[in-house]
Amino acid sequence: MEVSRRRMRHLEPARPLRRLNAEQDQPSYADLESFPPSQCSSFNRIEVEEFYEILQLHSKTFATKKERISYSREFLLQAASSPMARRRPDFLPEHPVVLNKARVQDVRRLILCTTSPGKEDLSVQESEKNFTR
Amino acid sequence: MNNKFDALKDDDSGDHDQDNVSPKDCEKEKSEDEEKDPNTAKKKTVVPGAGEHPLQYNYTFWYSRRTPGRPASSQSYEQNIKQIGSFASVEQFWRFYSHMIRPGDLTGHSDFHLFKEGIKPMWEDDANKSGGKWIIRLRKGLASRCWENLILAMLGEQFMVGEEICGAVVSVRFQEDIISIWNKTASDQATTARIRDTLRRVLNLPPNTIMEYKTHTDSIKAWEDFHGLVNASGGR
Repeated sequence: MEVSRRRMRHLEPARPLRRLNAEQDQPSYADLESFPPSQCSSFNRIEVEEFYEILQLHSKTFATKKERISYSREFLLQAASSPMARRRPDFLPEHPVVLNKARVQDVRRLILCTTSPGKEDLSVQESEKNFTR
Repeated sequence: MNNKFDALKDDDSGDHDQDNVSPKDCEKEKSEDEEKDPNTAKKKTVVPGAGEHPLQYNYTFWYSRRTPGRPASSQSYEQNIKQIGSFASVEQFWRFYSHMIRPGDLTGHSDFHLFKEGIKPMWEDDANKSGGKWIIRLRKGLASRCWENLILAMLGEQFMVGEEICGAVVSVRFQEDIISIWNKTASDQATTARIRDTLRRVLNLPPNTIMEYKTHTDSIKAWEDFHGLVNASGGR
């Protein structure tokens, strides 16, 4: 009796509490003594925080909405050349800044810029230097 | 007179360019703006089309222009600022963008605003009222390129500051152009520093480029001070 009590005390901090509880199929009298009933029952209960954690894990696997949807400049520029991206929007107000036909050549030029980024960087930097006050 | 204009010039980046509008007129405009709710309801329906690439947020393009020559008091902010359209996907963005004049080709005193759907490009909007903006002044000829790099970074979620970004503005002015990016919490220094660093990276700005952060509270105060002065001296 005395020996088993000492062993339990020794193991307590080293083993995760949850595992300790699960692995004990037939707890001895000493074990029950070291874990008061209130503490034991809390192991088997899912706390509110844990519940939300589980829910979030599920929503992550089914709908990736929890993650940020991010795109690189290069990806966005490439998407500009797809036919879906060149159609005229269904609802477009009549306005001096609104064009009747898409500026296809501008989008092409943008994509050309991406293929030679080094060149572009240099030109922007040079012009920026001139104007900075 | 010069002093007043200097104070204003600081602030001349995109939002309320109602330099000569009396405060009374402005009050009226604000309430009109708030009543324009049918529009907001319509905007909510924008969704990515089949096979399109969804964006993290929906955005709305706005355009504003100060008409030269007309007495400013007869204009309202609402008349000046027009919604071009809202989009929810990469493809929808390009549809709008390719059907609009590039900012570098605009003439006169005008602005493009690109804000998250539901946030008005106004200091007083709930999302903006505790916020501020980074301002970068550009010499003529750079506006289109810088604006495109700025909005592509915003749409692509390159700023990595959670929900903090509200929108971006490009302001075409007489001798220079100004781009700015607005965020929700001006007092959050970690966020504003991260936005600044991302701006430098995505715009390829040299280290000595002057970037100025301005809180909207300061902008409102400067604007009110200016108009207070104008009214006290009997001008309008």
